[in-house]
Amino acid sequence: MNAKPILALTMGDPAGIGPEICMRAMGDRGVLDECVPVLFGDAGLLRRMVEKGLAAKVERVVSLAEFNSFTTPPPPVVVDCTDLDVDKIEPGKVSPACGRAAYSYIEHSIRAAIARKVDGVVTGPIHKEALRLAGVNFPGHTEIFSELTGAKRSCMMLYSDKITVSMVTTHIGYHEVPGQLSVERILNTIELTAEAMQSMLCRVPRIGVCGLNPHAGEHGLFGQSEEEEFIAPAVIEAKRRGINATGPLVPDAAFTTGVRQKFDAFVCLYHDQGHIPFKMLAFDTGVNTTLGLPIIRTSVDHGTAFDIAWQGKADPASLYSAIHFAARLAAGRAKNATF
Amino acid sequence: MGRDGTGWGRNGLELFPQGQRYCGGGSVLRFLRLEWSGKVWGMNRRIGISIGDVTGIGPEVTLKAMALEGASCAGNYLLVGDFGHLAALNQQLGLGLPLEMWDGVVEPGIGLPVFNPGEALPASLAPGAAPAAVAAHDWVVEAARRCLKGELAAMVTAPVNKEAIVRAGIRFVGQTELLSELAGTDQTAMMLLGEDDRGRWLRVVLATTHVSIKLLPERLTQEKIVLAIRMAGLACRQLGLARGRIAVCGLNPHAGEGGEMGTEEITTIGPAVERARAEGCPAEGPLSADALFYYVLRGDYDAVVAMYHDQGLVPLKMIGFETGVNWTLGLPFIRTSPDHGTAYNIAGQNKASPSSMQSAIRLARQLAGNKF
Repeated sequence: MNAKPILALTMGDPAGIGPEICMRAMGDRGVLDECVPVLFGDAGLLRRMVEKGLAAKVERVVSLAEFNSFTTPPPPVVVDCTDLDVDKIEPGKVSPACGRAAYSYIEHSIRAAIARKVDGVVTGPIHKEALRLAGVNFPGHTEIFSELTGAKRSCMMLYSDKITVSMVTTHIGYHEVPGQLSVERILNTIELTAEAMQSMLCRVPRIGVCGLNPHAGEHGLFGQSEEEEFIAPAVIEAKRRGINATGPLVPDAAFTTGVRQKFDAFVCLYHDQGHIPFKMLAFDTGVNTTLGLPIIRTSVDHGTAFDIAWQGKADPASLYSAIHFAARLAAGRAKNATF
Repeated sequence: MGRDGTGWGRNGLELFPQGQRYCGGGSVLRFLRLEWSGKVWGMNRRIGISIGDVTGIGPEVTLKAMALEGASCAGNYLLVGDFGHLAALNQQLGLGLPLEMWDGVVEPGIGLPVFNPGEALPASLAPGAAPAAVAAHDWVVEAARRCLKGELAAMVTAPVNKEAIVRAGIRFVGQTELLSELAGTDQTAMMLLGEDDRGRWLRVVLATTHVSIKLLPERLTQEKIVLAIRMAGLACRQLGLARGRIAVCGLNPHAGEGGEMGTEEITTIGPAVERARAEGCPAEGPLSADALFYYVLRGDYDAVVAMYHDQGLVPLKMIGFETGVNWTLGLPFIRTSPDHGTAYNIAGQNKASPSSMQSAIRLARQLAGNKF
């Protein structure tokens, strides 16, 4: 592997804030020090960004075919994946064309990652409605990546410098959560989280595993206790495998300041159990990552922000964190590979 | 003394909407009574504090909170509990409070009155011992009765232990349920309040409480949600939050996203919000719970209605772990309590923090309009 990892950035929905924050990243010193960014996007759209003063000039644009024919590691480039009719794109508008384009950037970046042309993928924000209009029916990036890479086990993790949470289940109804739990699934999430945090911190991370029910079930006082059936056994097995895991924790006490300091990451059982504390502490500044894929994937933790798209108001902080995190994961993976 | 049973809370008429039992009669009569009987008024502006299970931290946090009130505490509170235990604790903690045994009838002296309607408790009791549990239960009943008779302006309850009370042979679900029963209503809900270190408030009413995730979807009914929204609206009015904007959480990720991840938003929560709005309550929802609490802290909403225990409790404990307060809405009197339990493990060690108790007292005082 190179000294610096090569990271694919996907531009996200063209009508959102994705293009402008990606272009900011392409010219950011911190980003360029840490990785070689390769932006999967649209050359015409980026020209329009430059015209509107939302981006500096891009050094080099290559076609997809050109990129694929590279035999040496590329410099920072923009890969022109689509042929958007840029004059027809209105910022802040949902359209099937934009949905199709956003999906195409993801698809091509995943192919590049599987072919080892890039070391990881950092995704810009997409709009689910636009994807649906384009005939792409996935609830989110996590599911697209799991499907296209054929991952056997994966989980969503939200990372920030204040709090990090992984989810055992994500985009399913609340009533489906208990039925989807198993010792194996919880253990997978614990393991994937521990592995990612090890890369990030370069030491054995401390993982807190939440209970499912109020007061972590209080030994079955409120009914069937998933804590005893699934969570506790998963924690015990994780410990046996050398992971510093603790749990099941009482969920409402787990995220208080004092307890937070005792853990590097939390394993949560359902979407909002992790998202509520995370968004309170790291609103719009965190990193969303899919663990367990054969490729590295991180993402911004905000949406397309259609209301401020193409106005130069968007904050690239979350994208920079996502790039930083992907670079660290890539370095960690390279290190492990040499063992 | 309010033993004739017709005293008035000072701000009773403003605080409680028409049709509730807390107040009645015209303002002229009220005025006359205040003028005529200073003694009656003197007692019923006191706040009653049931000191909780004496083998837990209830008495300790109560006395510490009293000590922090300073000299004014004597005339403003009535402690309902065991005198011997409080006196010993007062000594042990070196608080120097002017505790005074009260018989429940005559005018209290200048000290801080302590009233025990039952027998004195033995000095030494094991954690969760039956006599302590039963007495704690009876003190809650006593304070509530005096509130119902208008003899107290409000009540604050220190923690009791549910398991110990049940073990002692008393049918008991919780203090809130007990108080609802005494007041003859089932239309009550809890508001949990917390304040962060920047003075930002989170006020949450739970639509359901201790229900496992598996059973929750069937227990979550439109009626419970409408009640919670209504109570949140009432609470905002009583707190003087004129705008009273109420955010109602969804149950599923992203509030179900139009039925793609769960349908309770469509079948239950949405219609409940509509019903509350039709009653004139400025409620919004169902909203995606994940980002909501950020907006609430930013000041976009005055209160939140959460669908399940941890949805509300996780954010609350994150911001105000030490200062959380519970407030029972829908009772014909004011009742607040600290948000912690008996904590038998640290009882009697001078380790318990009174901050939550202080917050509970402060809120009760604010609601009763007693700005002493």
